[in-house]
Amino acid sequence: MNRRKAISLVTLTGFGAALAGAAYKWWSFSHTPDLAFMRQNRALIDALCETIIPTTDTPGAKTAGVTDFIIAMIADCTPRKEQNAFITGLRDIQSHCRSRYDKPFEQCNPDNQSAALTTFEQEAHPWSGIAGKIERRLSGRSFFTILKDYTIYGYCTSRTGATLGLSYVYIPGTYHPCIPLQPGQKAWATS
Amino acid sequence: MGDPNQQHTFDAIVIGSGISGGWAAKELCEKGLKTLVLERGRDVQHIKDYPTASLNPWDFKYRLNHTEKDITENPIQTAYGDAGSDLFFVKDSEHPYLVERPFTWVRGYQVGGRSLTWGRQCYRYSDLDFEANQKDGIAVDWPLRYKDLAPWYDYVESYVGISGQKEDYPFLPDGNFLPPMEMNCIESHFAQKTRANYPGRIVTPARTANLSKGWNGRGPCQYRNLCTRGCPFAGYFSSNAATIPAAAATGNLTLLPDAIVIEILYDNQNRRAKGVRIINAHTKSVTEYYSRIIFLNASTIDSAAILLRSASSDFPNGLGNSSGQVGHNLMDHFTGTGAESEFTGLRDQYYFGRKPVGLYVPRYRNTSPSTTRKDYIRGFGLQGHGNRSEWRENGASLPGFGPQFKEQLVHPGPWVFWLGAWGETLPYFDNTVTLDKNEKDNWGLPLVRIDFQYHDNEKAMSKDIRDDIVAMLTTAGFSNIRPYSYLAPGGTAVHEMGTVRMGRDPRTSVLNGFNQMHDVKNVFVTDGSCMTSSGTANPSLTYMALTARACDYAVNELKKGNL
Repeated sequence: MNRRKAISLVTLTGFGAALAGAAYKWWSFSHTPDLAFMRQNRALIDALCETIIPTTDTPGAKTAGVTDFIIAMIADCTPRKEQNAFITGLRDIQSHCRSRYDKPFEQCNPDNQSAALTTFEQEAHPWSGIAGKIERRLSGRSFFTILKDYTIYGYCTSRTGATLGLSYVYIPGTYHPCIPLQPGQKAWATS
Repeated sequence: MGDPNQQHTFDAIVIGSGISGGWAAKELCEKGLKTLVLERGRDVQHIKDYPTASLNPWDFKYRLNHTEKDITENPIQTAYGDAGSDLFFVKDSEHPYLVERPFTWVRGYQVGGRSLTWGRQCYRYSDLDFEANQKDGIAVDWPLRYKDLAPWYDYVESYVGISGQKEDYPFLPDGNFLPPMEMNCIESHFAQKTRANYPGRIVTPARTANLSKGWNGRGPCQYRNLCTRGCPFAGYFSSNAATIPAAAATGNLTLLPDAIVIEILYDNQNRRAKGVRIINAHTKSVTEYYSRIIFLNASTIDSAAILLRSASSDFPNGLGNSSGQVGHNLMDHFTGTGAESEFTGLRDQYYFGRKPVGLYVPRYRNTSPSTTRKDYIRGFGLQGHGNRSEWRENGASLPGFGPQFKEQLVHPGPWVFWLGAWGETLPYFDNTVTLDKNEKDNWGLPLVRIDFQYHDNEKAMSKDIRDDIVAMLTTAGFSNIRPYSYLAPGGTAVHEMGTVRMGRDPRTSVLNGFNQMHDVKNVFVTDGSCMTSSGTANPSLTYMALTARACDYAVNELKKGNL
């Protein structure tokens, strides 16, 4: 192989790889999301959201029914590329746990669950600054970011989260513009 | 109430039941006129038709979120409503309109109109506003001054119930107020620092039609901050809670929902309007109703469209349009300039209850020689709001997950504070509402076409606002100041005005100083379309005062036999 031919082959290969990469990326954004897979993996979503907001002295996300909220949000209130990012994330974190701990996420111990989720959290912030902004705009939110956003929203607007985790006043009836914050006072659930 | 199937002739017809139409109905009925109110949308009865008003966040399937399908099909409805208030905003897909460039036309087609979902802030205009066009040589002069309207501001305020604080500030006249909805700690901090560092500026609790105490059998506000779902406590002013029941109580009101006005009928013998032709929104049957006077209160864009549709041999370009001004001079307040910020102190302070408004900084630019700008005329008002950051503001930015994350999430974070501007927009002849020649709506009526853009004056003002907001926040000790500045599409403030303007000269304006058509003496237009300039303040209170004043004038003219 002469030098010119070698260069053109490398270039072509590189070009082909880039095309294949772009095609894969396009497919990963735009294919019909496998919502059935998500619905079959309730135990996994239970464990994931409970890892984000665990039961402490107050109930956690699982008790608050956040899984139902996440499933409804992914199915109906999420752009397609983020639907796919989330469902791909579910598969990825399962294979990560199986290969590392030999168990699905929901059966791992809390330390391993935290370690696994930390890995995905770090992947969620590939670049800071402008590059990260462009990445987020093009690709949408990452698996971890979607999981965290929906867990927070689902928990804080659930009956359990709002009334036991936070402080919910159905009808305040009155307004006090400035009051001293009491020790340990919870934040208001609604604004 | 009368039966519109039996009776077709009334003393007065009011077209529209929103904030100004409700006032016209109340005033005319209370003055003894048998009045037919036509509303193009469905009936919404106070309390009974507020199905979401008492729901908790968890009672909604997606909480307060929209589905992707809803957002795609109804982008404006979903941008302005949430799962609790969507029912009071029209579906974009059912009510199309055409634009030359983006314009956000937010509509509430139902009895009560947008008085159910309005921002509720109520400010008087001053002679700074009423004299502005004359002083600047812009458009035409307002045919009235503050002294003409002041008693009518008094009159409507005493009925509506406005919570506010007197300030003795020349460009924001005081009114008859209920106790103010006081500023919280961070808002007070901003107010004190601003007053101390910027002599001549004031910061006052937002003046609002939320009732800080019970008033005229309504309220008080329960501090739920769920106003736009309709308030079962009548804690804020709406046509549904106040003016329409008051009109009905006289026995003189006939309210006809689902009645879309095709046109106002003109009698060229008597040179008067004789009635209206309507089409039923569901059955599409066409009916006519007749009256001695007509009040047009369909909202700025729709009122212009109705006049343009009401063409006759005397008025080939639309009823009362010999000036050619109908549909021109469309204004809004421009928004889209402001800043978010944080404050590190006052961490031991909180609040109880959900206050439905924040604070107001009335216009301070171009008010005196020392505040005069070289780069633009007129000015802007600022609205602000502060709160402890809670899960909504800081949830996603708190690091990590697990027990420590949860601990931070459920406790109040630092104070956050927002300041944003509502800027005066000049009346440009080329900002227009027209009827499309080809496309028709579901009822066979021509689609409205809107052509609206901002110009250099608004652009220069926007730049100054951004810089000045940053300066004020910096001066008041705020940190992490994140300014934003873009000219949002027209309509974004939902303060459309100007398409049927008042003026002194019939050759250059459509209405006289009593909102009476120069050309057709028994037609009065008292919604936002009558505005000769936009001023800087939220305009609804002014529409209400103008409406009450015009009703008084119209009934006096009727009694004198002039109509």
